[in-house]
Amino acid sequence: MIGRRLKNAPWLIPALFWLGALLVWEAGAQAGLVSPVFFPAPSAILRALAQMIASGRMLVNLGFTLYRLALGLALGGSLGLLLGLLMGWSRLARTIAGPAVAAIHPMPKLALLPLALILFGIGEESKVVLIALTAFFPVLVNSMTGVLQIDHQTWEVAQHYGVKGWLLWRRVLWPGALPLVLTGLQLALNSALMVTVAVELVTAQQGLGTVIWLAWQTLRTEEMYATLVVIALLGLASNSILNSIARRLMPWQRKNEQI
Amino acid sequence: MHLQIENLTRRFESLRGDVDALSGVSFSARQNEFVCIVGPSGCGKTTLLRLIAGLIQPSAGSITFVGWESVPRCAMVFQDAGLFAWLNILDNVALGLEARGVPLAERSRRATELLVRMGLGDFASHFPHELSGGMRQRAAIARALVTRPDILLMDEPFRALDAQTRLVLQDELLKLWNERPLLVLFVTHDIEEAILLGSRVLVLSGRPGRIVSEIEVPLEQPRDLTGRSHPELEALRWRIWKLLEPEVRQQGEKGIPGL
Repeated sequence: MIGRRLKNAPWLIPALFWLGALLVWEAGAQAGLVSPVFFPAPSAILRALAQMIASGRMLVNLGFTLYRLALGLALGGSLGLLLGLLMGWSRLARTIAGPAVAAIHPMPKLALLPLALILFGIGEESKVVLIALTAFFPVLVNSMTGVLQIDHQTWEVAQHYGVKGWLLWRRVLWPGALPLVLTGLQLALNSALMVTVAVELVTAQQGLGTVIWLAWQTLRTEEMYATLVVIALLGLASNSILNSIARRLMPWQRKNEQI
Repeated sequence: MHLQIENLTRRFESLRGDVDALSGVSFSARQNEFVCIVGPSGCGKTTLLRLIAGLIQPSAGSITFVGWESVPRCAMVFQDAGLFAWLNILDNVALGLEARGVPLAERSRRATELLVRMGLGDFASHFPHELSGGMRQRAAIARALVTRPDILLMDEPFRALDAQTRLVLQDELLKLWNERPLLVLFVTHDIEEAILLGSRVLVLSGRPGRIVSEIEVPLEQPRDLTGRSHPELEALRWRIWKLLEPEVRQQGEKGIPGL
């Protein structure tokens, strides 16, 4: 009986486990076993979250973070996509841009923050540029690899049936590279979210990162935790949106791997 | 009108030494003739087709289309079908027409017509991975035929199929050819298949491929699979095997892996 019920609801066990863990935390905090300053009870965090939402503070800051994230992703992602496809397609482009990509790609983008501040000022531009740069490389490298891994026979079939020019991009290059393009986008999204919050921690006046830093400095840790919850939910939501886009864009894939 | 191949040679250069895939191959094939080419693996059969299709250039020798007013159209059926995983069957079949700029309505009509003829009428909107190996190979044949080629090049098209499916597809191919004859060059390593389908069988040597023998198949026209019970079949098969045997053995001794 229990076995069958579990098969119908595979989420039941993890849900019970984590609910239990939260209850233990709650009880521990209530009983004073853990410091309520560093580990406030889940109920306190939830109360703080409700207050922040009700006052509109959470929404405004979430808006700033989302705006930077989306703009950076769109800019860096689209440039990375174009250059990546081009580098996959043309050996010349690969030869020219390859060394620069190899040099800048592994560099921690946060280390470039001061440089970005010098070049683009302390306004939104420097933040968005840094986020875009973060998103740019994973999309570029994966788009390039996506084109390079299209198999030889596919190219030969295309050549044989006279597929060239724009049609070649539309019928071979783009759909052939798409699975890896989307993988790159997912990697880009996650690193971009990280860099967005990190940049806000350091320089911004608004945004979820700022809220966390402020909460920490004023020891309102329940607000810090509440914001972390929102960031986690933001990551979950954006990844699941990306997955559903992937499913829609690639109907030929039996199932999309969830990352 | 005939296809004239003279002294055709193709050398592949590599760092580990040059390899002659074909050496001095000469033969001719009449319009509407069904010619089968057998040979040990790695003997350059595929290279021969790719040369005729113009996918690669010969190192020496010539391919002439004698008597054709314009260069005849070749269409190749690739090993393992070579359909694009991201296009549905209809779009796959219509690929050659799309590349030629045939308007959507007409190319859909022509592709659908052929799909129905090939027994794939209900699968136009399916993706290749949703079809069986035999159906995929049918679609690949449809993709070649929809361009109304003068010359059909088939590169071991039934290699990966199980024995029963192979019989069905051989039979269908003969029916198609009887209805609308065209010059077919059919590469196979299956001697019986070569005899049953071809009106002539070219026997190729091991690498570098040369033509060892040309054999007229005395089965009556129009051809169908009842040729299988022809009293001379066994003798003919044995004769071709005796021609091939030293080549296959020699290839094995040289330790050259099949291409």
